[in-house]
Amino acid sequence: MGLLLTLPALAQDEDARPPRRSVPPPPLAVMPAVPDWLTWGYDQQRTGWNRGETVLDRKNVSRLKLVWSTKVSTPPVNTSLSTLTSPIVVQGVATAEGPKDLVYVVGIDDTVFALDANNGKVVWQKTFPNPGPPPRRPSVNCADTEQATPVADKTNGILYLTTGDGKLRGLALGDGSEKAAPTQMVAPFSRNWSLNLVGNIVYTAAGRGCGGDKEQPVEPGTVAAMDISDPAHPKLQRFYTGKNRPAGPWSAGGPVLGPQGLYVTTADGPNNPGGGVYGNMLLAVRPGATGLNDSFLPPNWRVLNARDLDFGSGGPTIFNFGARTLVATAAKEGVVYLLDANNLGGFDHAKALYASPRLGNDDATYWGHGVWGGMATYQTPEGDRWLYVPMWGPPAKDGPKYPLSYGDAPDGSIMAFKIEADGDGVKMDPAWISRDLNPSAPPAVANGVVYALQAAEHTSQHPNNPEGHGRSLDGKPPPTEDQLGIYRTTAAAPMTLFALDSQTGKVLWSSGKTMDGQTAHFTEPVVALGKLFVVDHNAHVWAFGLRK
Amino acid sequence: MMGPFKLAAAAALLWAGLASAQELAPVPQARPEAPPAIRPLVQAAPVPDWLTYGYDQQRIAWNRGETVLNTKNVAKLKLLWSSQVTSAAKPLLLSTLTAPIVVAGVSTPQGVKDLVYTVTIEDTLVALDAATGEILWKKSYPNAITPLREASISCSNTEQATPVADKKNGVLYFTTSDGKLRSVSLGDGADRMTPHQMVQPFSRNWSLNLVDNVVYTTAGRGCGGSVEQPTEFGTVAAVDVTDPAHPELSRFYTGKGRPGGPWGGGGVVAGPEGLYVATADGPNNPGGGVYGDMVLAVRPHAWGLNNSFTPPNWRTLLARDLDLGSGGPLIFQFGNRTLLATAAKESVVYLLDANNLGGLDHQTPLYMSPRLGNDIEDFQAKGVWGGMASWLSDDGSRYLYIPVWGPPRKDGPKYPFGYGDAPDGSVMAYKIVADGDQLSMSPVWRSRNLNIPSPPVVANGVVYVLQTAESSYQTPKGPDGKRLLFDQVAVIRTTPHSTMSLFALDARTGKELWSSGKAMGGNMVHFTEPVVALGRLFAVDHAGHVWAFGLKK
Repeated sequence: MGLLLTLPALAQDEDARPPRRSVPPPPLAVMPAVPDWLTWGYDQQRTGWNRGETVLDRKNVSRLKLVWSTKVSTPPVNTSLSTLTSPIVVQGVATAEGPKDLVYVVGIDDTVFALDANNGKVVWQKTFPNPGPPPRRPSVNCADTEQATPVADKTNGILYLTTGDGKLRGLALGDGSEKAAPTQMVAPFSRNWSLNLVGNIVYTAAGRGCGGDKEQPVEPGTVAAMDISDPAHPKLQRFYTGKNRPAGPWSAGGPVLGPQGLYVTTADGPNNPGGGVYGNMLLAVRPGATGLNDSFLPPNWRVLNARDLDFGSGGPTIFNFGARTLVATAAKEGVVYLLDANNLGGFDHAKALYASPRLGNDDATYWGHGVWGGMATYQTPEGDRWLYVPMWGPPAKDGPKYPLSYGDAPDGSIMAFKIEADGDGVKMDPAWISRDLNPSAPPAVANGVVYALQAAEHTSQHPNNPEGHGRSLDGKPPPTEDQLGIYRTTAAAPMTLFALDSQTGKVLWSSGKTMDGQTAHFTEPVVALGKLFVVDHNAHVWAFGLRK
Repeated sequence: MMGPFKLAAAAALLWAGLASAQELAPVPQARPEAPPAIRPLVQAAPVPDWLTYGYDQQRIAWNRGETVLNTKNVAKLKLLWSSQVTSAAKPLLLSTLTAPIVVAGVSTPQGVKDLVYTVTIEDTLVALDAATGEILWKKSYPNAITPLREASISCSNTEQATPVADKKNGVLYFTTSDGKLRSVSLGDGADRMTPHQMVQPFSRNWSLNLVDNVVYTTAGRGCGGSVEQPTEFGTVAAVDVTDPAHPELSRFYTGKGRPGGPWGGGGVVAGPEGLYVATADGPNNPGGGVYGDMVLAVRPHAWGLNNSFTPPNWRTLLARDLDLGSGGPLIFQFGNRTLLATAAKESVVYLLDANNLGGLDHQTPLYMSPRLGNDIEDFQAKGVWGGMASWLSDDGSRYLYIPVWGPPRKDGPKYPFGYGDAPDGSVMAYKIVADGDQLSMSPVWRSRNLNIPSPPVVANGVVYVLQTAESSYQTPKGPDGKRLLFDQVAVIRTTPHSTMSLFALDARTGKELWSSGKAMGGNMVHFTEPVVALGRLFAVDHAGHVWAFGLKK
């Protein structure tokens, strides 16, 4: 004691000035490379890059063959565009029959399947019937079914998943026995997105206002965090991004881990941070969903909102680039934003480090064009950082010129860019545009190979009057949701996997017509353990590999 | 595989789409936000007890259930008892006891009793017989954690949050300086829940509120800290106590360090859009999760933000250290509106629509008073530093009672009733007036000089206020004009500046009906409130006394 009291030592705002950063933030810590695929997008940052894959490469990928396909017992439903969640692949799981490499998917009937990655046999399955009546009739937007990709905690041998009743469950990887008390995480019948595991907290995000119950008939946009430190008593925290349907987090990858917490992009809605409604934004939600840490608002958000160009349709991916940690995000508008993950949008939350020209969706339609799934990123052994952008519909007529291209791409493509330093800033240099992909799922990358799925789904949300959001036309009743579902899941092209050279975009391999007649929606191909996995609407799990 | 029906249906739909390409319907408006719903305030039924800071969840400070004391008999109040429950007071630690909580008819091993509860700076919960002042039981929760920082006047490293009683379930909830929420049986202090971390150890958290099985508190000033979070963020903390064996914590942070923390002795205030708090100085950056100098409506369970108000001059408040949070809000019904009233160091009272704080731009109040005091815009010792009280008279007039430190504004409103100069502080009384859709505040009376007034409370037409006698200058200077050392300041802050006294004032005129005179002379108190309940008047002081006044039979 005995310190000299100096003004304003007792003032409340003595440190009210913005925090000064004398030391640049450290680079983002990423988990060690593993050959498994434990979560959507491979890792907590949703890079889509399997850094631990050691089998498949540019030299042998052309020898990929169908290893197996299994149709699991989940019956497809027309309005549920995604019958199975994307594959999760875990190596060396201890099962009753010995250690196995397993593939996990969850069906829309709330059944979890564990398949042998080597032969496709169902090792175990477990069903969690959802007893509740849904708040609304199913539609293609709100299927009333589970569609969130689980996450595997390999260290503790647990698969975390949500079911249609909105509960988080934890099952033993080896036999499906319950390892955590089922606990309400989102509203029943929620349209929640993929799970992410960070420390002892499982995250998901819910949008579209699909879920609901008596207390909360329309689930507000939600980032939900479940602390599973005590599996017998998981503890829930939520951060709401809206007050009902608008402004919910979107993107199949769910929350993405970065230096300021969990990053999500949101759908259309009012932009009113002072009112707790965060439409068309990129948000950095605090760890544990205990509030907001930072945000980015695209300068043209009013246009996005007016034209239904939801900023959340793609979803972010986060990676280190030089001394910076970058967030890349893109959406229906077809513009890629690169942001400083430690300081989103700068002082006014509206300045990007780089905004690309429009890469697609020249007509600015809300349907069938632009970016509707996560990008992938890859760093070559030489240190070049690549970004792979899945584009629906044709590239922009006045867009960048790609040094390498492979014919017209009217239905979709992968666009590859190198990220370069540009003075203090960053920029994206176009490298190649892929062959036509009708349409392109989020790509995955490993060992210099980009894997792309031509999902074959009809992406026009309303075949009859899309610009009118499906409103009925004179003398013609609008299609029913069932008819819409049939249309959407009727193959528009052969569903096909492609392996592309990550530096040139050249086709190294395709699955040809193996999966012809199938479609897939909002899924991703998975490369792990020397194999390539994908699911489809008819409840198939497909595996391609190098036959011995 | 695709069946023939699917193919046919798809083809038909495609054809329909092509054929009707020129018949587009207008694009619907892009998902407009629904207008705010008008939700009437749900108030608890009147009780004669005082179960929480400010009487109820809305911190209205009006005991609507008091049936004994009134304007006719309050002059007969006498000291019933005083009980010193601790001798651990220290100059540096301004608040030795939390404000009293009073519960009628508690079943104890000694029979049914009316009890008074307070928590000491030693983390001891004390239950006293409201009739005699006898300590019925006490329970200590020693804090073995070493604080990260030395104690200071702003951050005392001791517990200062007023508990909340759940009378229905016979439970008292309180926090201790280790940051844990605890609950005990009202009757005997038996533990009733698993202690659960609610705020950081050594937090400066404010009074608890209980709403729908969730206990809330707020923390500001960045006093608390742990290895994980060395400086506690501004926090609204919510613990769901539905399952007492497994309480569930959720938090909403209002800042990233010390600035922007919730303030107001009452903690959160329950209203139609959730839990309302007013915050201290700090950057105003809702897009960055820092909410300095704002009124926030935090969602139930602290699951995000529902609404906010930023005073138009927030930059001035911030620059001059005039924290919007120093007073704290209260919420009440006025006609078909639910109003939130708040005031702070600046001495401006804001009336806001609790269902639509600040309107579209979050900056438009329903009414903003002229400055009522603090002419020199001092960051210390002037203006409003505690909650207001509100009373609805039998004739339907809605009164607002404002405790102002320091003299009234020179060119301020003229009061029909006044009681001499008030250089050290006063209670100012206003009627809220509707003029069509417009609201205003009409001055009614200003009290006698009060050196320094606590938050007032009201019951049955009587306003009770405590002259706290505290030296409110945070940075006093010595006789030589030089700044003083911390130790010297601490001694000055806890040395009575006048006679600590309770006053009973006529709620309609401000006329003094009674005072405690010199009964409590030689004492002082900081950031507390007097409590009127069960026909008695209770107060605490810095020396560790609980005082009770009543009508002697």
